[in-house]
Amino acid sequence: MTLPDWFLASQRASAHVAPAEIGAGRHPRVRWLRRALASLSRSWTLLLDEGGLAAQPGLLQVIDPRAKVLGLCAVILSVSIAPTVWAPLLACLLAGVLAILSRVPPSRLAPALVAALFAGLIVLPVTLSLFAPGEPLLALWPPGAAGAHEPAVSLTREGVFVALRFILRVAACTTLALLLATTSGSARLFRGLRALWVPRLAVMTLDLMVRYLAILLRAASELHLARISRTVGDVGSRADRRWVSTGVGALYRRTRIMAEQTYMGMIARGYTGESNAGRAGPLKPRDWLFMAAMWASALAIQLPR
Amino acid sequence: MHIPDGYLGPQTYGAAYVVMVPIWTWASRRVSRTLRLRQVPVLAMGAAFSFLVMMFNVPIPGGTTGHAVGAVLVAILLGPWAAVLAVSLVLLVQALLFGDGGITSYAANCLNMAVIMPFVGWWAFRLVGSGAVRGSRRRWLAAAAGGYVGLNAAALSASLMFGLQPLLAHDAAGRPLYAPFGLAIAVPIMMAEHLLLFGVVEAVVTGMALAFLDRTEPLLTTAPAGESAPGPRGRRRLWIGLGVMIVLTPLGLLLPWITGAGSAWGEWGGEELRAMLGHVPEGLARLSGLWRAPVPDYAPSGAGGSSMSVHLAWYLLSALAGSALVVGAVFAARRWLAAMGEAG
Repeated sequence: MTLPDWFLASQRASAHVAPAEIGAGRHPRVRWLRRALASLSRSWTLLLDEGGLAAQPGLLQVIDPRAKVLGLCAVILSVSIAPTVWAPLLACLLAGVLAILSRVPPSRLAPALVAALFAGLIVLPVTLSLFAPGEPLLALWPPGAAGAHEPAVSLTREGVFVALRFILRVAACTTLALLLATTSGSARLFRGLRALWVPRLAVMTLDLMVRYLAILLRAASELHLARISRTVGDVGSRADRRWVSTGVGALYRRTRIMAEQTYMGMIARGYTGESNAGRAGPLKPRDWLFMAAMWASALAIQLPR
Repeated sequence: MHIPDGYLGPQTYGAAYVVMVPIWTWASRRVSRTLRLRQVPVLAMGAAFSFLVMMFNVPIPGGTTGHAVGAVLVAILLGPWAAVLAVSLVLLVQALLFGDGGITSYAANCLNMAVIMPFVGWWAFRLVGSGAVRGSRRRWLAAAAGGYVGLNAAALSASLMFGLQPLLAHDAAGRPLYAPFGLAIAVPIMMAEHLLLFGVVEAVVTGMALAFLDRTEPLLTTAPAGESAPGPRGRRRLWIGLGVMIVLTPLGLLLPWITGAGSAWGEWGGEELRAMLGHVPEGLARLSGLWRAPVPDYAPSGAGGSSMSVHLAWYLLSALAGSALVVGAVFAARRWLAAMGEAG
């Protein structure tokens, strides 16, 4: 389903106004509310926008989601089992080429960079001789203690190798997963999951969940916005926590009402518990070609030792 | 707690998929039996709700914020099997659409957050809140305890997965291939932040959200049919199961005796260590004498040289006594909590 441009533009505008331009948001007491609202707003925008990028021309956009799921998952699996540093490095290059050919802007792949940086932070101690002994590569403390004297703290060759392999693997897998998501659109992507033997009913539930998630995200944003608008001065942490709990409760009430209404709507349209989701057609030659290329890449990245 | 791709080796994430496939199948059957036609919309909304709970930040003293996972709350409201499916769907959407959590580690994330967390939390809720009146203080305290225990159980499982990686997967030079820190680092770091910080956030959100719903919409907090506390028939089955397990306990002695196996890994006594290492480490020798168990190795001290049949009898008796003690302690705790709830 493609939403009209005028609708997307108006929704994007209203979603972006909230976190940044609320006067009360400057108060430190509501800073956390602003952060939550910004996060809700980001998810809302992403849910609306992801169909946009998937509809643009590009290599991955024209491939059937079933072929994409099977092809890219094979590369991810191959990277995850490879013991060398070359496999994730080659997979990163492959992901870069696919992103360029699919015209995916770098900003859409930013979460992969965040994941890699976080992995780097986690693995940092392993590179230091203080935590894991190894052959010194670069003396860190005392400065200039190289050669005759063993430095107290140094970067080790083994540690840097382990860290590099770990960071590259996380970056490669996350980038490939993001490419899969951004170039497919949720509805097509979920239908593609049928290729991985995900039951039809689960795919239908997922589809329904994502459709209503946008509405519920909006409801959650409104709850936060209302709270920010009504907060004057310091209300105390206890009241904040109570508000979160009542907010979660209120949202549950809304989801149950919506579930009941949706169910009644489905019954009214003749739902009997059987999924009538349309069967996907056969794969085209280009889908088979893409899948073969990805499987060949998955094997090829295992070769360098 | 979302484990990304690259942190777990194929031995771990492969095993998680093997464990999760039958759980998903069983959960689908259970849920379709209890929710029937309503399954699709209720599950879809439950999953959307679970997704949104994670977006509510809670301010924590010290200027930072944390968010709840909400799996225990969903388990209390929709039943634990529905929570398995709802949270699994959320994790799939997060992994595929938002890049939060990996594709290879998806089943491992589901095992932690969609199975261990809702089930442990739900059992803790039922244990503490059994018989509590809707809207009572004990009921929301039970929900808070469920949230706290459930989240920490999931964190413990995730930290064990991380900590096992250097043991399970390393290259020829012994360097770790995946998450590089062993159990001694991964478990304390992960558990400290969850025991002190995120567990408290989960407890507050779970407890207070249930209290709010109990007060405002009591009909919405009714457990679905088939997910409520076991009736007399269910209780009888539980007792029979416990009895069968007690009767089978001598196998724990018989099988190692037949196969000639030694003690479990890491459970060696001083004599076994002396046989393996040639000496008993000094610290171990000193600390091993700190506490003398009244019934060491499930038999009284004098039964050391007795025949296998005497050992088996003592083993069976120990199983009976141990089970009676645990069941008694649980009943005592329930009575105490019930009395506390009535007083409150």
